[in-house]
Amino acid sequence: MSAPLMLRPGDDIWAIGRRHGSGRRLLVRPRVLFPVLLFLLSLTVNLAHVDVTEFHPDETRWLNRAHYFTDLADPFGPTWEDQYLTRGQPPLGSYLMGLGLLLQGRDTATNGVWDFTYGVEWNTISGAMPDPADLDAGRRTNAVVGAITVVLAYLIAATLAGTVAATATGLLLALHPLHIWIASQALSDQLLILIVASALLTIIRLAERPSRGKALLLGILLGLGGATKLSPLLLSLPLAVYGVGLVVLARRGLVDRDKAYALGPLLFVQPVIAAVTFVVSYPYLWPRPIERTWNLFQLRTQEMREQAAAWPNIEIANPGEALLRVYDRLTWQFSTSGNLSESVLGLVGIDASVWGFEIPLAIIGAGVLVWLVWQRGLTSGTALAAFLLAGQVGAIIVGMKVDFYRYHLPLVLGVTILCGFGFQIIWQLLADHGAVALWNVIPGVSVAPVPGKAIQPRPTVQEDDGSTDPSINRPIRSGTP
Amino acid sequence: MTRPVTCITSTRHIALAVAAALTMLFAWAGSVASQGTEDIADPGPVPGQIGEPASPIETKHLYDQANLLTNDQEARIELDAARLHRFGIPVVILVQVSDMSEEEATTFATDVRRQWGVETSPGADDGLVMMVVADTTEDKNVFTVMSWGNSAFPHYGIDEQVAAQIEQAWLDAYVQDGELYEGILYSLRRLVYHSIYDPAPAAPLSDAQELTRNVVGIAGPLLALAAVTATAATWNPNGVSASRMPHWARMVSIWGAPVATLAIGAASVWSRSEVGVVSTLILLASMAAGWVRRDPLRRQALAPGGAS
Repeated sequence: MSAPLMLRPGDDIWAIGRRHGSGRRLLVRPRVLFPVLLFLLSLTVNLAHVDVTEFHPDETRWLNRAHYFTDLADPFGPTWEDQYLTRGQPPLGSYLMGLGLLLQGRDTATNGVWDFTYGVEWNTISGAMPDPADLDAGRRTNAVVGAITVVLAYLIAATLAGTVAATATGLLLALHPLHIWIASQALSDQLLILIVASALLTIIRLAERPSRGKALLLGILLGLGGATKLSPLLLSLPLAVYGVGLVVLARRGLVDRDKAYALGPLLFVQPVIAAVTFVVSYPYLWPRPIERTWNLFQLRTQEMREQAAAWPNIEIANPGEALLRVYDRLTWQFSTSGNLSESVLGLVGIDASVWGFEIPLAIIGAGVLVWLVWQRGLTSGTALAAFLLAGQVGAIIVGMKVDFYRYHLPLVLGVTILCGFGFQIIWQLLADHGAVALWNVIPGVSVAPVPGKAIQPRPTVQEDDGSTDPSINRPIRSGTP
Repeated sequence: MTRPVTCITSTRHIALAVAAALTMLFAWAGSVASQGTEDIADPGPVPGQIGEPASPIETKHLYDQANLLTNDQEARIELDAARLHRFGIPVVILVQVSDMSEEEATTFATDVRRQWGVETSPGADDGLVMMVVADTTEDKNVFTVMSWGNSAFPHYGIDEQVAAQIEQAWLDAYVQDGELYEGILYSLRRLVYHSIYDPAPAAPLSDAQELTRNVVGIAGPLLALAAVTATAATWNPNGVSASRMPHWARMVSIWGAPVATLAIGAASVWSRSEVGVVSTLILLASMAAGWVRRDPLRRQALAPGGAS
């Protein structure tokens, strides 16, 4: 009797259909199918929350500045003068809102500026409350951005670890309550993690096969990241130091010499490319780029201090406290596993607050990542991605002075990627012990383990296109790679 | 069953009397204290007797001489007036019952502003006196006056037009509807809004800037055109054509482009030339394309025996 669905783990192509049927089997590549499914899942979930997510006054600010996008046509107009709003936030999130509104048939003349000194009543009277249609359009824009980010997270994990890691990462992120919350609000934080994820993917590709084109793209992404939330701009500096370090280590024969000499200069120029991109993207900076960039950083710092003073209960005194806050937030308040467990328990009538296991799993994943960096070397994409991710996470932990929910979103990206690594290693450990047969309990599913081979993604694309870092797609094995 | 016998001694009589006296004393004191916070009219300037402000302008902004506002309302208005002051507009608000005409009220408000020195610094003449006048007739008709210092405009986003619009749409509109408190409060908040969230108007271009703008308007597009032409003419997707360029051309493409881009960019920003900005962006793009095209790693990969 033939099986209606056949999974052949380890293969790049899934054959779905009758085993003995002639020409009626559907061949599907999981590396194509999974990202598409994850995108659709994430987009559906995000859009479903657009109408129900609680309104946050911050959304009004991003919608208010949607006119930045159209005002780019007048780069010396009043919009770009030195004033509170231009100093308050870099512009890319506002551009995104403007673009999103225009694409959805709205215009960029929206609500007034929300004054946080006053309550909802005055802000509504003064026209700072957005039109519901504008609010929804801004939220839908971020829903799409959030769904794209899920795909990028999938691709990062797929490149570094494999399909299991990638699928787990994508699912954890797509269903993450904080991700869903912010992907259904009109804020700029989703754009930030989209750019961080893009930079991670680019730096992995850059390390695979160094080229000026990819280096330029990486620098542009870091600059645009700075134009979204400032912090990615600073990441270009440690990357330059990393580049110098590679060359120094190569001279002493401690790393792959050719690769280090190719990568080092390309990393070294990152601050220049990022800074030029950052300045070009924001007409406010043009007249005095250094002074006004300083203004931006200064006002952000000042506002964080004021927020800490205004809400002492969420003030964060030091990075250690920030880590504890992150643990609490991502374990008890925002956790995919916790949420899913609570939903399952809710189905059987149990109302409980369930501990989310992402952080412990991410710690295992971090161990796997360190091990992979050790195995693949400092010139590998794994090492560079780990460095960039650690830099972004570190910048947030060190810079976090108040515990606002949205500041945790980039950490969610890091945690879900690391969780994916954790899943991958657990999956492979189970596979090595023959646990694959467990799939056969599902009616209609027949899983045929490949003799002598664990469930793991095969090295694929990069080996075909002449990757200089074939170790990139090396599957995670418990033994010596 | 025996009941306890209550025996009031003379000492207890005295204690009870003292307690009763104290209770009455506290009740009286309380009533006096509440009279202290009773809503009474502010003393303030009147025509011919402007005198000195009761408190420094920084600490007291509102003089409700007509006693038309409650204490809570006065406190709220004081907060917003102080906020406006912090954002660069010292303000005094007078609420009076008077038979003054609108012209007389305007003159009076101006006199108060000058005599009390409602300004950010001596001689700055940039303050505001806002006045609400209810007439003495049965109908209590109300009108408003805003007296601005001669140097008050522009203040960030506030110019004469914005000030007039606020007076008409916020102060007058609410006051005429009998909502005096809202009219004063909201107009103060609108002034704060335009002081924070609207930019100051840009200074006009100088002659040198005008000249530069004209030069950049011609030189920028020409340079951009030259850069695009040069990039297109030497373009090779394999990135090897640069090596076939003459030495001087290579040097120009390597060092000339950044210098020209920087110069055109700086001149464009200084002279506010949109054409110059577009030219700069084209130059930047062609420079980036040239840098990518001259990628030695690509040439190594394409060379016989190079990395694959």
